[in-house]
Amino acid sequence: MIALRAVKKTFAERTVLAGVSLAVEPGEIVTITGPSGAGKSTLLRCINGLAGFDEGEIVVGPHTIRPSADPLRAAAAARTLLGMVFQDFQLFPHLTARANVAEAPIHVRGVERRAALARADELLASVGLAGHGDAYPRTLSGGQKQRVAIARALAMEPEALLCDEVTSALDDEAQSEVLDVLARLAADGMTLVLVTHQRSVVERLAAREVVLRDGALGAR
Amino acid sequence: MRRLLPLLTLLTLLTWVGGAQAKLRWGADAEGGAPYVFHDPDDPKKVIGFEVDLARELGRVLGEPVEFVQYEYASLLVGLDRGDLDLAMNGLEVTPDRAGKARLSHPYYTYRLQLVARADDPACTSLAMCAGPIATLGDTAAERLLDARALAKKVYEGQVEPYRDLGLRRVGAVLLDLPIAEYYARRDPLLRFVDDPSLPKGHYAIAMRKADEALAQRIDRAIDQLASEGALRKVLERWGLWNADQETKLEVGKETDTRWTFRRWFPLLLSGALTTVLLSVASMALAVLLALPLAAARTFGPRPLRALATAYVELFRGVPVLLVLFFLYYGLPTLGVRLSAWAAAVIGFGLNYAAYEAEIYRAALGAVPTGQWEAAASLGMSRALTFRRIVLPQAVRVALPPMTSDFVALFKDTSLVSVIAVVELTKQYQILAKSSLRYLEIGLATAALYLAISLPLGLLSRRLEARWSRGHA
Repeated sequence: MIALRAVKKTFAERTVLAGVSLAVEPGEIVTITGPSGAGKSTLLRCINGLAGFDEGEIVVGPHTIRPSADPLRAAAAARTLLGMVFQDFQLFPHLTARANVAEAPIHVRGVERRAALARADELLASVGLAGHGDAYPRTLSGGQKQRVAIARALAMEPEALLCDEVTSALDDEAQSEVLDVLARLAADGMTLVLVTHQRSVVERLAAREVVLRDGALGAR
Repeated sequence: MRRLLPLLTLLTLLTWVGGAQAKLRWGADAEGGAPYVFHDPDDPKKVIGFEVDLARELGRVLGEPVEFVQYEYASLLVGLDRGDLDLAMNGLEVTPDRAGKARLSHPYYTYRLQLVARADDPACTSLAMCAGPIATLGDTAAERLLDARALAKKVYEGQVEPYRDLGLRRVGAVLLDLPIAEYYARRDPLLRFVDDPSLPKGHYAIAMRKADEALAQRIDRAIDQLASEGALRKVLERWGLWNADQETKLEVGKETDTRWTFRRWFPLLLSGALTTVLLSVASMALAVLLALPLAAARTFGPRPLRALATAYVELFRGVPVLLVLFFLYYGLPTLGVRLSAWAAAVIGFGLNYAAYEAEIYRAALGAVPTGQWEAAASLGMSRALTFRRIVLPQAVRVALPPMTSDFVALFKDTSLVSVIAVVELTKQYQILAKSSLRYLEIGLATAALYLAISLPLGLLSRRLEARWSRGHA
């Protein structure tokens, strides 16, 4: 599903990724752990083009991403297969939960508005937020916000979900709410790549763990 | 002896102060004030004019030097009351209003109103026959005559601009006192004097405090003496102002008495307020329209475009809007571009405020976190779509409160347009207060009108701020 081949990246004369290779099979759950500042988030962001790299290649399904001055464009095709969830949610504050979820289907895919909103309600229900469609992000708790963010990513029907420290900003209860949702997605066959520094995430999802240290991957 | 020393010092000081007071302080406005009082073009440090010569003659007869004090024309009577001046002599026409406020001397000049039209406009044969607004100066007999005859007028602050705008076809004719027309229009081949016998005559007199009756009587006697000696005639002849009018005695105070009741001045003030509001709204609309591409260029544009937008912002933030207005209205006709006063005002304020609005928008765009761009990109949204659907709506909420306070500032700044002869609220206040001498009550009414508009706006701004700051938790 996702394969990194000898991906190198230097930033300000510092080696961030020193030839990283990693293969993620369809339906597999992989966590990337390691000391902070090791480049875990950067690695994840290279996969969907939010960050660029200097050498090597990244394959997502049938699409190959090569080093580019415009990484966002280079990864555009790959991105259609990938959803992403962030540590700080990044919900759109001026839109309701339902509109957050329906925004991209309506405006990127051209899905008819009413159908997209109905689908958004289904997705919100699937993450345990039935009846919260009219709520604005500011009125939701952290755990609720992160579950809206997951629903928003799912709305574009990705084959894999990239999760960047998605439970780090949450209290214990909210963490388990979010992990429950992710576990259910995994059970349904979703490919998950998670960057985390929390052991609980690795254990709860029974994930394969790779460790990024000094820009290189190794087993634990 | 040692005890006497302080006393002597005190006495010296007293005589010195007394000596300083012996000079009579004569107030007049030398700014564009030919041929009354004006700066000598050959030696700008010196003031010349027929009233300067007259003041010298008065000093000679009184045996006391009369010293010139530069004072704004509109404020001369206020200057007397404040004690800044002892005399005000600056082509002040004898009117019942003025006679009620100040002690007016015997007249020293009989003026008539002179109508001036363009040489190529034969239709303008009398005041009633001239097309378009008639240009004049504020708080003059000419302005009151135009009001009394309900003719469209355009009120200027200086004496040069009316004739200039007549040449530029911005007005149909100019109605001003003969001495002004003699000096500014007589030698202009584009203009011609129109003989309209229906135009009234009147007197110029020196204004003094009513409490200074003793001084007033000395001044009256001095004027009479100068008249009988022939010195007055010599002064007027030197300036080409002597004519048959000077030999006939007119009845003083013949001008119709116009009472400045609330019902008369308040509607005029309201129309000024309407002008202010329209001007502010139109200028702000233009500013917003210009500011959007400017802010976009500064935030997202390629380097040369960014530099251009930055240059624009710095230029218009660094140059006084007053200068911009002067340039647009009086400077551009030299290049063949003739803007109406309204167009110049709206464009001037629009250009100026666009710079400020652009900075607000730039800050507002910057206030939307990069994470929002990334989240939208991860959903497959393009940059343009992200800007339109995600960033812009958030930026607008950040920008609206400061925009509202900018609008209030613009609203007050529009008072500057009086320099290009647009009569808005502040200018209307000046005109009305000067004519009626009711500075206090009309001033309070004017302030109330400003507040009636700006306070709700300020309230709205705070409401918006409070409401939308909650949205960004």
